[in-house]
Amino acid sequence: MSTAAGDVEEMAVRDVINQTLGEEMERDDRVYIQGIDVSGRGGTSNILKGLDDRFGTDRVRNTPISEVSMVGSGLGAAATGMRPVVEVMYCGFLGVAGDQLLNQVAKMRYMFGGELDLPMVIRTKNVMGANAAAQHSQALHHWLAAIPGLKVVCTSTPADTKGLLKAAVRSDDPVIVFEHGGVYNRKAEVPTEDYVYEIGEAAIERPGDDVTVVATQNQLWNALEAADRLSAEGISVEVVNPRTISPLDTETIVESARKTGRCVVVDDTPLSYGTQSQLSATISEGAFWDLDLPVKRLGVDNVPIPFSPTLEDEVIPGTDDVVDAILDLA
Amino acid sequence: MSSQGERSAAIADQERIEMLRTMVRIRKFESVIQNKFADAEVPGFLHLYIGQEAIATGVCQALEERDYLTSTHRGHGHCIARGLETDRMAAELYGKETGYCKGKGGSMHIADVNAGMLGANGIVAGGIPIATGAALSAKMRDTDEVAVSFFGDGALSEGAFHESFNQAGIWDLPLLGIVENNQYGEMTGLEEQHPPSALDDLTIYGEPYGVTRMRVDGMDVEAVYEATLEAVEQARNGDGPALIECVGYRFEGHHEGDSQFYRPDGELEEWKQRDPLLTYPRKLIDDGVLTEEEHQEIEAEIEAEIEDAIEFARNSDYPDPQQAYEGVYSDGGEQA
Amino acid sequence: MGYIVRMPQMGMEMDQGEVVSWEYEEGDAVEADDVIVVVESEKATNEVNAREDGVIRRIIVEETEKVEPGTPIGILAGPEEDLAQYETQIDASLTESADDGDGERRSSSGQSAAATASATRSETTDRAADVRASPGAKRLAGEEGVDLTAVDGSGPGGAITEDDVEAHLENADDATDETTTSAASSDEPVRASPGARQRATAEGVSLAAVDGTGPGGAITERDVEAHVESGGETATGASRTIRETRELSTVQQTISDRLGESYREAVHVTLNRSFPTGTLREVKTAADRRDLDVSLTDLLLRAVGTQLEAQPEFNALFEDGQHKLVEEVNVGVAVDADGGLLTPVVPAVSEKSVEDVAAARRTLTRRALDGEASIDDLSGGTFTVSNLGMFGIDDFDPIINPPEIAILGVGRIRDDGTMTLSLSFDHRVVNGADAARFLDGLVDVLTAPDALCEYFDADVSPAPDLDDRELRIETTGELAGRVASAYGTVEFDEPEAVGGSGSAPSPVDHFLGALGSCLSLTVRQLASRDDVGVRSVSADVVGSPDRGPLETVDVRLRIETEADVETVNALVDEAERTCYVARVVSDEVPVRLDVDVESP
Repeated sequence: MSTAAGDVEEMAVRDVINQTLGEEMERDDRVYIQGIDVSGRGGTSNILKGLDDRFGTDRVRNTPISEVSMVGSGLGAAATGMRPVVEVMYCGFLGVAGDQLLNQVAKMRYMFGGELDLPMVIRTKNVMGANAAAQHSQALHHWLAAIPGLKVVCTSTPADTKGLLKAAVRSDDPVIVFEHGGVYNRKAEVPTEDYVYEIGEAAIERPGDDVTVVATQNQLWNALEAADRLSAEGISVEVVNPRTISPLDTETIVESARKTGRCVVVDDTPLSYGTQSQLSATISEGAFWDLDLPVKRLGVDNVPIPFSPTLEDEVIPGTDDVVDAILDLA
Repeated sequence: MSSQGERSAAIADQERIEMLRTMVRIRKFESVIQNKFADAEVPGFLHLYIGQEAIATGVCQALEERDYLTSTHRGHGHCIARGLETDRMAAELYGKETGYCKGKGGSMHIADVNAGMLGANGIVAGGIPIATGAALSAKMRDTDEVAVSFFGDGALSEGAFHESFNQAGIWDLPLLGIVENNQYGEMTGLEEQHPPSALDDLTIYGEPYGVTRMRVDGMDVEAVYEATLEAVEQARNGDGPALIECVGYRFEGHHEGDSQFYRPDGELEEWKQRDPLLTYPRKLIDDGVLTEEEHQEIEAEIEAEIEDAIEFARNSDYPDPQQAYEGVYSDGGEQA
Repeated sequence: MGYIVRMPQMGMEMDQGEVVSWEYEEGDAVEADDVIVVVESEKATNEVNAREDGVIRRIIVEETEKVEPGTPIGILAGPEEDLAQYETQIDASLTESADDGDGERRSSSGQSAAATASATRSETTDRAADVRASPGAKRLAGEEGVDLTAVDGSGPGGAITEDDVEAHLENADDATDETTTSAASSDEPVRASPGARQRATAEGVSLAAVDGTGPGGAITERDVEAHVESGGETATGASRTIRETRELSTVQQTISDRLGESYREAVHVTLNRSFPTGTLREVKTAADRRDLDVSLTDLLLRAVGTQLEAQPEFNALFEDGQHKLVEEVNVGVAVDADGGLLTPVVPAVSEKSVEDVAAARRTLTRRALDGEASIDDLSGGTFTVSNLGMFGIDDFDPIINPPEIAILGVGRIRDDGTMTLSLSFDHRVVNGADAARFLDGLVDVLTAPDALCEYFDADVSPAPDLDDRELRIETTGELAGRVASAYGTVEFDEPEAVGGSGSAPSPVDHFLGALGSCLSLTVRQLASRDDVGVRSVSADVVGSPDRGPLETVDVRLRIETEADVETVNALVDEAERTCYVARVVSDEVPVRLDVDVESP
């Protein structure tokens, strides 16, 4: 990873996305954005606001409500010299574009012999805790990570959002960038200079000795808060941010697990067959002989996300749940 | 290929002979492959284009090298008409490393992106959004390239067709859809696939999207060629998408091994009277463009070419099993 | 010219093709496109056309023979053509497939890789077959230089676990060091994390001496650390002093042997099925009301009898590797007797009424409890029912009573009225779907009032198929019978004086009763409507004469009320006019109505 040592700026994730895409569009005029209401409204979370004024509606291009052609035409454009950034409003809508993602985007390079570059980004967002009900509240990065041929990253912090989004735009492979509605307004310091994170590299967000917590997106913030709380009780928690779901940086994760011997993995995907299962299996395979206790998985209970706040809160892990899970192992 | 000036007049003799050669090449290639598949030399499964040669040939004759096309599961004809080499095609069908996709694609996924051939496609209508993207890219890069998508009558029932042509209509994209109406969607006849109101003219599906609509005899290579020329010219001039229905017939089953239980008696024989591989040489001979001897020469020459192609495929190596892990991503291998 | 005719490949899922018929014989001339042979794959029949003109020179695969796609089945060539080149090719392809051993054709394709892979797999299996040991056991054995073939395995299928290796090491220590504490040689497996085991090995600590603080007392790496730091002094193993050793009785010993055998031999699978017991309890209540001594267990037994008849595979024994279906349906009932668990057998359950089942079961149970059960009482069972509901158990996994192949466990009726039936069956003999169907059929019976009522000799039916004011009258003798209504059954009989048996009211009595009842109720209703306080209403009805046709009917209503007589009379007048029963009485029989008004 090429990192920046020097000036930093406190920014919210949403502003980082806008700034980063703007920088990439300045840098390379083959980069363009398409999706529903990307111009005008600035995309479903208003994040892209102003980019249409800067780059015109040819490069910030509103599509009809057609996920199949939105994703498929992005693929065709990527195969013929453009670098599209497609916005799919909510990750639940990826299903509408199912064939294009599963059979076209993921397989085109391989089936055609491996030579064809497909520099396309699909930005979408996981949503939890917004009382948006089951179709608009989902985390599905595990779903696409299960399809060889796609690269899948999860952005969590302002700094990794910049590094990962730049990496995705500059990648010659299709990269699905899962943002998270719950972290858009999170603020933290971001290096001001241009940098790219390696796709496939995890980060230790907070070092510790007693228990490892591997966490993504909103759960990463919960894990950091839990670690803060527990440090007061003398429990030292190491927090790992996988950053990339596919490919997964097994080395960093396993190394941390071997050091502490106790692991919690927490993510907003459903507990059964979710990202947690892959992480847990990775840790068990790589660190089995150094584990002190079985890996603990935390995630959304196996129900569609309910609407009512009391119901939704019930099924989504919060900081308290992360704390409890750590205490179970510590 | 000739310039547009010549085309607007009568079709040049040389071009007519070129089209005949393309049709003969498609027919001979597939007939041989059909036998090799039956003899279990060619693995997998196989969808043949036999009967529809005039469509791919006429369309591709009207295109320039810089144009793009997407194809279907029944794609050998499109590939050959586009100019792909029969030896590397045969090698792909045999699963050999010298094939167009290094043995990773097979019959349904032959592609040569360098030749603007964005791939045959195993999913009905799967290529239409991709062609739409190529058309968008052509427009955004400020070129006069055109993207052509071949698909069957069955694809008109897929959402991908409608989403793509709607988008192309809104954006005035240089997208040309070729509806190859071969009377059957897999093993079910047209009348069970479309409402009566659409049967007489399948391009009606393009009407709300504002596409230019044309309907031609898919057994008449020159009719296909001329219609395509017109549509391509319009697209190049920025006048937006077009849809051409080419009415033809699939002489073979949906795939090899299909018992073709669904074909009414006599239907195949009737269509075979209009086989372009019979009618077109006769026409060229009648018009004095070609002699009987020259026709025989063309047949023999292409037969030899196909024989060589098969030998090339047979003699090529299978890919090293380790190659299964290569080519998933730009940085090579599969994920750890 | 000419070519080898091969069995055509007709699609992806084709393994073999059969030559159905040759349309020509050897030596026949054919033209291109003629059908020369008809072949059939798993999916379809296809005709094979001649690819060119020629002569069928050789038929290699005869009709009805099956071969893989691509196999030569004949030769089509010119009439005089030398067949040597074809024969060489055919020999080559036959040799090739012989070399492949398993008949694969594309020797240089991925299939040879598959063959290699399978060879590798079998090697692995061979190696693994030498010693079955867990990774942890192998690691520890390696570290300690233990020969795994000398270690007894206690894991699944005799696999050697890390504990086994430790035990082996400790036994070796025992042999040389008599001072080893008994705690260290305990047979109890030690529950310790992989990290703890590794640390213990590195520190030379016996895990048996370490206190565990993890879940379920598991020893963690930190526990080992703590143990090492404290110099191993903290360990205080729990001790066990045997207070009394009880010999098993012969009966208990037999039970122990048989259940042990069953548990080891039979592949036990238990399916649970809950159902609402409302119907079952209603029928039981109906039976109680008729003073029938029938328990829920008896009803269950009887229903089980029906289901065993419907699925005879469960009414069976598994002996000598044979599944023996039994004609008689004899159901054992587990009884918690003093001497141990006994299962007296109720014979021919499916042929008995539930009353008879109950009587038989009571007798058998009493004898079992009194220690008087005979061998006959306890043998001949074909299926067993074990009810632990009375002990408050929700559900449990019963052990099959060999050589039977299934047993039904019965749980308690929960507060919400449901009960769980647990069917354990021997999966070697019957499968899960069969067992599911068994439970399903049983529950069908137990929730169907008609089916349950039919098990009784006595009539317990509440005739629920009747509507209001719809009655079904059955005569059960010359002068007796019963009236069934939606709400229950009443009997009628004539007095002995007129030839009946006097066991129930006569039809006329019923009529008079109806009249009195209806008038009483009507008075109450009207009083309630008019807010007239009425404590009670009763009536005496007398029909005259006491034999033969009625000539008069006297009704004496007694009304306890604070209202004045005038108000009451008005009520009664209106009641007489409106009472539905009174209104159907014809004028030919005068009904006299008197009223007694009582003040409280």
